[in-house]
Amino acid sequence: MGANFMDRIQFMKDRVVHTIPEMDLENARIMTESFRETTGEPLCIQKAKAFRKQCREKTVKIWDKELIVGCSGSKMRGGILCVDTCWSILDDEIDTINDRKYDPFKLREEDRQMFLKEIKPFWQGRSTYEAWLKQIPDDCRDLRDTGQVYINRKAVRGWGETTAGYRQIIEEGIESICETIRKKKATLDATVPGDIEKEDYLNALLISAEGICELAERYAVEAERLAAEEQDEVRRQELLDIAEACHRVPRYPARSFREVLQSLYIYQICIFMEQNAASYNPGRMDQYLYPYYKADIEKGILTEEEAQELLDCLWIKFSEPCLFQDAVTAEFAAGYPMFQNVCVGGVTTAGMDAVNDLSYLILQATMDVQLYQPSLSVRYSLAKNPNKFLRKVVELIRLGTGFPAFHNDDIGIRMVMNKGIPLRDALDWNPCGCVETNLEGRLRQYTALADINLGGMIEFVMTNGVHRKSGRKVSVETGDPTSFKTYEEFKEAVKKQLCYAVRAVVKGSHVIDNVCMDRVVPALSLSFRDCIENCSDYAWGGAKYNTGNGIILIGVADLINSMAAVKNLVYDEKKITMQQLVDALNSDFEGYEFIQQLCRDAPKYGNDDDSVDEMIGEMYTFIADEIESYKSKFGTMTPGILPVSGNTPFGLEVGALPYGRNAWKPLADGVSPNGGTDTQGPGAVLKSVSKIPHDRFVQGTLLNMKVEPEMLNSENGIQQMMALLKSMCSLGVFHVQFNVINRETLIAAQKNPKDYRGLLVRVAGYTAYFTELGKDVQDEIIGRTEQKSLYGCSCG
Amino acid sequence: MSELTGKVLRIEKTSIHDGEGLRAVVFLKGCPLKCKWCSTPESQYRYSHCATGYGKDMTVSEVVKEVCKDSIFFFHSGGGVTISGGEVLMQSEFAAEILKECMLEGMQTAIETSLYGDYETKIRLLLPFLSTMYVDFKVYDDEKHQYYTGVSNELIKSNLLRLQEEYQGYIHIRIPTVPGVNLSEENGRKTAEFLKPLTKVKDIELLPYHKLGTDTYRKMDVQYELPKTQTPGMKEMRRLAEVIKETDPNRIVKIKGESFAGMLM
Repeated sequence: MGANFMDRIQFMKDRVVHTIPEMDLENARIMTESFRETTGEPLCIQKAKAFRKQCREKTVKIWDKELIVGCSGSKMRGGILCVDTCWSILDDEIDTINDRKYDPFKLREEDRQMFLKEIKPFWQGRSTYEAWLKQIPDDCRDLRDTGQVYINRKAVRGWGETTAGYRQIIEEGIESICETIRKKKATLDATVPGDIEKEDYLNALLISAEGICELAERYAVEAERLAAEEQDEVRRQELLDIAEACHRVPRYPARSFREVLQSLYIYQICIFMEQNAASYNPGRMDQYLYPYYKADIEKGILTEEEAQELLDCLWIKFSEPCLFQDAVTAEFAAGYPMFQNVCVGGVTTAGMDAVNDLSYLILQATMDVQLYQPSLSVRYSLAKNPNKFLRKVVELIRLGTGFPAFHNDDIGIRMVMNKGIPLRDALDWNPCGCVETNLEGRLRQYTALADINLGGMIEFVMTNGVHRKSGRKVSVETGDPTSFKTYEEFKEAVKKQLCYAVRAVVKGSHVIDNVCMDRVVPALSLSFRDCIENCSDYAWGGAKYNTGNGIILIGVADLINSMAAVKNLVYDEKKITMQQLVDALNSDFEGYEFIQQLCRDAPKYGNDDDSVDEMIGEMYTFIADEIESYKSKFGTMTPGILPVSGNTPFGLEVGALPYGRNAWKPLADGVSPNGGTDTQGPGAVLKSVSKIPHDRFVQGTLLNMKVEPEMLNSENGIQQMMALLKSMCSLGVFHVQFNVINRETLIAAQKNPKDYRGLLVRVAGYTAYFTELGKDVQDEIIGRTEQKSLYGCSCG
Repeated sequence: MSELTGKVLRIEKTSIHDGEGLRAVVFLKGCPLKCKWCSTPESQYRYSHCATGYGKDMTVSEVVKEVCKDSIFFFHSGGGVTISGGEVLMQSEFAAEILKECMLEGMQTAIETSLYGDYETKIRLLLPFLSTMYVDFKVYDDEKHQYYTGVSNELIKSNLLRLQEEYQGYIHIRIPTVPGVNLSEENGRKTAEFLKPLTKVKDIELLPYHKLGTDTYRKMDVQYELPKTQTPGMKEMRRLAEVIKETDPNRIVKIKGESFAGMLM
């Protein structure tokens, strides 16, 4: 690999890493001005004109050394505020945004003044967030206020959670899309009821399209300006290449690998500019980019190394923008998470192996750049994808960055089909955001509209509907738990609590659906063919497929382990009475240490123990059935299990639980076992996890696993990791991502044992808590984390 | 299925160190040897030791049921069940039943043994159900063997010679390499010479001594007899491998699972 090439990447990477995220209010100011000018026009036109004005007036900058250009705002690492959606978020946090605990943004004084003087007065009372706060149903509000559901997320930022029709943008070009729109327009008749609205909407699309093309053109002009000043001949040529690409795309079809990347990225910044939101997912890049790569290689105008460099440059661009969200939402998904999910592998729409040369280059880009974006996902088809590909995946896992998110392709396809989408399209699915399922340019949904706190559901059963922390009765009464004569009665109470929460969330979701009818997104809708054909925005259900919003469960293991402990201790073995358990939980086990120990010793999820796992199928089928029993105006409601980081704030709202967990501690993440309770190795975890009916949770299920570096240090270890991943697919588990327990973690655990109590390691034929081992043994384990050469031990 | 009961220390899942692929390792309790470097002292006594509560009684069917839970991992990795110890030969009938049932389940089967046991009554029983055998060959010199393990190695050597004649599967020799005990050129050479004629021996693997067991000694309140011994360095391990190669150039030698090609880099 050329040294120059990695120098450039390192330079650009350092620039991103060392830039402090700032609030970027330029777009907000322009939008406000535009809305003042267009008062009285239809909303979709107002939105489109505001967007076009942003494209025309926003700051256009090209940073040094970059090859792919574009930025949604005026600052490299800016947080964009979509005023029409949620101006008041910044108002609420105007004094704390600089120093808040999760995801702070620097707010300059002049921006603060401008916000208070220009933006706030105009938008007061007009944002979708304010509408939501006024309209939230009472039961939903009570559960939200006590941390039992989290549902504000969609009201505080835009759509996201979508895969735009990148393929259409790059292959067809915006000019051609406009031609389609104009043809459609010609079929309308303003005397026919409804056609005026359609015409307005198509005009909005054309205005947005114009904005996108003009913005690209402005980048071309800026590149030419810089080229004229540039002393360095090499850089000058690079700038001219940038100019050439930006004159051309995305207005016209891309002609080369470079142009296709530039086309994609210009469109990416435009849809993010239109609505600040997480999870605009480029999707199956190895599929739609491959023809351009192949053609350029065959023509001899591109080398593999040049392609790699361009991809690496694009990867750094993906890491520049920062999601702006309110402090609470940031707590649920910390780290300015853009969730731009790129995917490789899987099968083609003809059901063939989809892995190609570009799949490897894309994996390599993530290995080269090692930044937090894009989120890299693998669709792994056990039947079709080659071992060489799987091996490359394991090499990436080995780096310990947490990438890639490894998805079982067959289950992904089934999830999408279970959303009501035919197999023909389902074969083309892509992971979205975290682990949700999506379809490029065809599907509208909020994949993760609201989260339900499963730990809280158990608490409500034990307290007869009372939120322990506040003492408020906010949920349904399911009876005094000491009156339950059988485990069945206890289980029924859990189900009733779940039903109550699901019902409350569904109502809230319907309100959000209504509020979001005003959240039109013509720039995004441009790449959804059916939005044009139907003259209907993405927000209104214009896409080919629409589903009900995603309802997400957090605390899967907490629910199972609690139920298992109650069954085991109270009903099967009768070691304690329900009254004793209630008393112990009421006192957070203080003075009940003996009972806490029994609770901790009860069998746990994650150990392939049938006495626990037998209830998983029933409970999670019940929950999926319950969620899917509701419909919205867009379709059947959709269940999923993905926590992002919501398990921590949810845990703060839940008191002691029957499996021995103390009050206010984090819940388990995704479908993973509770920390430190899985003592039988990775296979046993996968076996337990496989008892969840993954394909029913159509918005995805997320499994985090820890792996010791020793497992990945040798050729044998790599082979066994490949076997483990294949086994996972055979078991029907949907997703896994790995955290490699690194040397630093172990050393930190040795120093501060109380922060690392749940850290499990393998010792001599058994698994133990690292902090409970003697220092000599700890040192020995730290010693084995050293990375060895993969090929024999001959290079010491 | 057999209701025969045995003493099982524990069953470790998805191990990558005890045979081909991902293994379920059944550790049996009880060992006639008392190796001073033993990393699983809790396995030495067949009957529970000082109320430390290690191990439990299990029937053959219970063991097999537990092992079968990992079938999918065996399928994809080419793995299977490995019976280890303690010493397998102490509970030979129990082990034979487990191996037989596992074989009927389509699994690869292996044992890890010191071969210290009667050939006719203990070893022969296992052979029909074994795909692979891992034999710990600790020290060549009998006096040293007696000093460090408490028993003579004459029986081990004669069993190896007999297996060469009668066993159909593969034998992997493993040497737990302990500085001051067997990490010497002389031991390497003599061991290699002894094994040279044995064509059933597929390879010799050197496993570096480690101290991971010392915690268990503390918990059991048993004194650890090699407190000062250190884990050998790669250089010393390679030197020993080289000696074996020099003595028997055709022999495959491994260090901790990875092939040693010689000193040419």
